Amino acid sequence: MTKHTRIIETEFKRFLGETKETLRANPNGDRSRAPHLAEAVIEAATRRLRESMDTAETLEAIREIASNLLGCETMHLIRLDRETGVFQPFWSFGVEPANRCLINALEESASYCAALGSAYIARDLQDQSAGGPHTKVTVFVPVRCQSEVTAVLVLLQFLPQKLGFDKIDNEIFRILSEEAGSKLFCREAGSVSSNIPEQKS
Amino acid sequence: MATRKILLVDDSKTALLMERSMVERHSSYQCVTASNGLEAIEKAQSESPDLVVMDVVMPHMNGFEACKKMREQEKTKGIPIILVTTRGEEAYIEAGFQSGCNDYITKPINGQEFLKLLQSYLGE
Repeated sequence: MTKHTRIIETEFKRFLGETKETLRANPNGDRSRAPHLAEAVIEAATRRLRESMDTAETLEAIREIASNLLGCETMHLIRLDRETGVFQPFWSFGVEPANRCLINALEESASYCAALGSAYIARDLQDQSAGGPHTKVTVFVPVRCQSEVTAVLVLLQFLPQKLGFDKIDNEIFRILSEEAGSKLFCREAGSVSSNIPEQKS
Repeated sequence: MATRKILLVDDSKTALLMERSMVERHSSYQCVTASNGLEAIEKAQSESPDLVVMDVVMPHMNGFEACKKMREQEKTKGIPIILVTTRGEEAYIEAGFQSGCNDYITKPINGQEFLKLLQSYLGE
């Protein structure tokens, strides 16, 4: 575990139970209270990823889903070398893509996420003393290809108005985990990194 | 009840998919879409929507400028405009209302609250 970060929960379900203690209630309310509208969110995320035509569009879909549906505009996708267990930068938005210091800082938590096989949330201890609405959390989402975790999507910074998580967030993490991986890493070898877009912010 | 038309404007396909899906679950609402401010002005003229729901940060023309332009034009000046954006900072909210919007909400949106807001402009 890095010096400044500790895992406060190992499973998202447990985090949901602790939300009141760790973050203020989401002012926008729990989106899952209206199931038919929750379906619209899930459907949009799934369709957007499934209909993406190439690597560049899949990465754009990830950015859009994180920004519009989760409230996160800073993210890093790091790929796991299964043989060495080392993470390599694959793509990022809002942060320097090859920031080795950042990847090193995230590596231990990302490894934990890969081993766990499900999304989990960590809180930055540096911000803990401040408390309140700006408590900083980092979400780690395992990205799978044919059930094997091949990368981890790290959602680094959430918008100030995103003050809590609901079941829809959990469902979006699952969609990212399953759909994004099959689009990005289950294609033919060689075509994967051929059209990664330039980082923009 | 007559069908009410909503113009959804966003450069994000994900946001448009979600908003469209939410709106069209209401049987008396129909949607037209645009992906930037310029296209929004054209569609507002040609489609005469009952309501515009528009993102702020977009290519070609942003939501603030598009909102101002719509307020300047005779055919579109009375259409209610809701700005929907990730930008929740005070300065942005102020700029939104100065541009002439009727409401300003931040992403990620809550579907229930979103539909209630639409209903407040369009009726049940």
